[in-house]
Amino acid sequence: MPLTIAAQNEAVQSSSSIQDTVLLKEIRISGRKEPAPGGLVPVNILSGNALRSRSGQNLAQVLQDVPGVSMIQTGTTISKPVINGLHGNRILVLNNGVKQEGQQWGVEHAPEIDPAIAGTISVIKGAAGVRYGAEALGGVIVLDVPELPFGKRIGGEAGTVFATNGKSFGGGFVLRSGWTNHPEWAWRIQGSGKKSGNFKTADYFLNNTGVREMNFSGEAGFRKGRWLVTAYGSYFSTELGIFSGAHIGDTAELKARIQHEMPFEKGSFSYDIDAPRQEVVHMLYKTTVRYQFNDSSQLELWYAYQEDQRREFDLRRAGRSAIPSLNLTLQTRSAALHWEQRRRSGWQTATGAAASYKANNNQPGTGVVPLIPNYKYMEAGVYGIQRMIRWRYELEAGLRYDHHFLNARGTRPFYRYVNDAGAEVPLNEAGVYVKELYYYGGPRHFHNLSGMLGLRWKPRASWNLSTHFGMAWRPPQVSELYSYGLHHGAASIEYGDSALKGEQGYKWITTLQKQSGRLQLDASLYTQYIGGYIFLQPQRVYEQTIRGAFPVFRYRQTDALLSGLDLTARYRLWPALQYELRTAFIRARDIKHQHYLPLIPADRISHVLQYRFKEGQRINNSYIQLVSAFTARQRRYDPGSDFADPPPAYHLLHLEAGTCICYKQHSIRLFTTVSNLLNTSYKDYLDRFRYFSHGVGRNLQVRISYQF
Amino acid sequence: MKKRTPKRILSALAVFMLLSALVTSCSKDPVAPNEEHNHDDPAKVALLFIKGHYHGTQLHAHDTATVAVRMDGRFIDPNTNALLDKAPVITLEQGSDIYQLQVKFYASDGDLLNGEFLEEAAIHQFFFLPSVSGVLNYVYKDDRVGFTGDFSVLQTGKELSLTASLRHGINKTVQREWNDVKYNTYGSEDFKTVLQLKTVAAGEHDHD
Repeated sequence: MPLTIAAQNEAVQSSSSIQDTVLLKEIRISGRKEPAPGGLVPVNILSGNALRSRSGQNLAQVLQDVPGVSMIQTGTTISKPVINGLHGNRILVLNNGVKQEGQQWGVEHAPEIDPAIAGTISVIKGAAGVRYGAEALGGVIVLDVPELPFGKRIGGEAGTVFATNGKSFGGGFVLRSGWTNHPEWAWRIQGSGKKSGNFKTADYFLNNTGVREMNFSGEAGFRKGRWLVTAYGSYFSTELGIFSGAHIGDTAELKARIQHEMPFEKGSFSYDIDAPRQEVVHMLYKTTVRYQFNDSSQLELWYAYQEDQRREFDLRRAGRSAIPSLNLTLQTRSAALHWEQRRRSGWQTATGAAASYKANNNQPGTGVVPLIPNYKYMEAGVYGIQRMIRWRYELEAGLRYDHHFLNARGTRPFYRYVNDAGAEVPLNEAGVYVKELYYYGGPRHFHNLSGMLGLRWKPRASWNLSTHFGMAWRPPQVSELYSYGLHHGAASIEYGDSALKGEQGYKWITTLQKQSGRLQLDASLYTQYIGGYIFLQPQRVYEQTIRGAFPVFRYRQTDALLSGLDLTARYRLWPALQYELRTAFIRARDIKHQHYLPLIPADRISHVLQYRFKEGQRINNSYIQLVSAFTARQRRYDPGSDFADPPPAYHLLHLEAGTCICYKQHSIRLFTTVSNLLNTSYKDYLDRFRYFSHGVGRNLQVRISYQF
Repeated sequence: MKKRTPKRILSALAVFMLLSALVTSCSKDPVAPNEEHNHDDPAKVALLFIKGHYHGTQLHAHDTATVAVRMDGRFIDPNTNALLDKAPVITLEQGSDIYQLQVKFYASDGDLLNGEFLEEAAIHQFFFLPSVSGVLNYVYKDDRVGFTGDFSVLQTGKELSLTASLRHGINKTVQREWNDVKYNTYGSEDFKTVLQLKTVAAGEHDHD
């Protein structure tokens, strides 16, 4: 019985890990089943070669081949993952179990995390609000660090990556070891860095699109008897340029650029990064204490501190380009207690509590009225999950209660029009403007009850059908509550609404999986209702400023319905030749006003033909694959709701090959990828800079890693 | 051992409560916001049309018509700052006189900001786009920045609008004319307004 359960679990992991296909003759694993991170919610897991073959890419790029996951871009340097049409504060990113706390409210703010810290990356597509708390509406991205190598000798990995587009180069390493004389101790350190210059589309360079990154992480642990104590830290730093051709004035200028379809001034290659640019540093420190009871239960307590520093530099006069126009520091302290028990009878219980405290401050001296106020934010939640595992089926149910408290305080200057006596007079009378400071913000409380119910049915060893209903929520962000004025990056005037309430999401997702045999299948059908969906509504009016006229947008709430299908199917044509189909379709509506939702991924279909070479004694895991990726035009769009219509459909070809030269415990892995093989010129609907430029052209990437 | 389980759980719970208290007992009041104001945005822009003629390089001015624009882009009376319901019409006479346009940017405290633009003259340029071509001519008098320049009237009896746009981030190694119709494709905008002009023959007075 335990053997069967473990083998099934392995199948779930490998089948979900669509990027990391390894042909195994047979696996027999004994031991207890480790639950997948999302419980009965469908999970896609990337690990091993799937991650190695994407080293040097950012988190959204690493995940973009997972069905149902796409990315929203601000040019070539900033990308955010999108899960089933939702992004930003509607999905969670967990760094070694800790919710990543950055400035995710901005669409031009990428997650401040290096995917190289992770041994596995899991994408949970359900509404996992019970286990993970607020903001897990669209899904969760879990970056798990590798386990500490207690009792093992020193080992590690070093790798390097080169790419022709952007002339980028980078590298990384991992060193890990136990302590021979003190087997209760173990440690691991990891680092990565990269530098790239201006990217090139099929026809021209994109000026000021260089990136520099330097990241480190480390963990040390002590394990004795039933105790495990670990200390973990990660440091992420990046400097990235923002395409200078996207720096625009008013709407007339924007329209002129859209009409031209590409930048007016063709760029050239350079590693230099000038304003507009971003500098981001994110640090996380975590201490964990775990105790294993002898009744198959364990208790975990952790405390974490995070600091996120974001500085954004704009093109300014009088030397002010060197002064950040946005300078935010977010400090977060969080703690969690988690107890879980897995009984031999098949019952599993998990319960816990989590609390966090955030302080977000604008650093003075920017010479720009801050976009968002200073604020303090506190949250606390308790949850319980019960799971029953039987031979043919599994059941799961959970409940969670959260309470959040926001206290914001910001100021912005207002100008009163007064006469000589200081009395306010109508604008058509003689007078002068007198500046006054207006304070805004104040305390807000949010609380919510979340729940979930899941069922998995396994009619045969290789088939399983699961269905999961989950509730999740998120409170409104400070940017949605308090935005006021010109958003330069978007060429629009945005107004928040301090009366906004939280979003409440209900997601039902049903997954059919077949995990062995010639045909393998992973199909997920989902529908999600989000009550109080917050979005920027165009007001169809223009506001005149001294820089010209800009369209006005206001944050509003509506009810949204998102439905879709994610499908991966693999068919082994011959033992060495495999065909894979990946598709993702999503339909999203504002059901209150009968409009389409903006920035929803277009339909995507990819075909992968993979040939695996015969396994040798020293050379193995060799393959070559051709990927045909088609992205349709987004036709579900309300005319006039955007500055430009969605771009036409496009088709890209990618070629990838990999091999491993192994000798005893040493191995050298080589991956070569040519993305956009035909150097196709295209624009993607989810690229916010598609108004000004095309997507990245042909890119040859070579990755070499050595493991020992 | 089993009996110790609740005790350990309770201990962990106690530590968690302590940590939570530690986490959430910090101040609930946000840091007082620092007063910032947008240094980059002028509060008022004055456009002075100075009628005169040159003696050598010296301009002898006769009289000046001023158009003022406030921070929300609306026209105001340059003397009283009262809001005008429409753009004032500037009348330009054809003849031996020219009209020197001087543009002055003011901060909210009244400080003149022109220096900030002129010290970066290499990347700033004003463009002037008449709605009717062949009516006006313009000559930059300040290294193609356009804070000072001369308009002359080529045709009379015309009513036209003049779009004035100050751009920054411009590559000025390329010579661009004052009325380049592609002006809004170079760099990005610092300031834009649309003036209303009328050209008349010399000595002809505006009776509006």
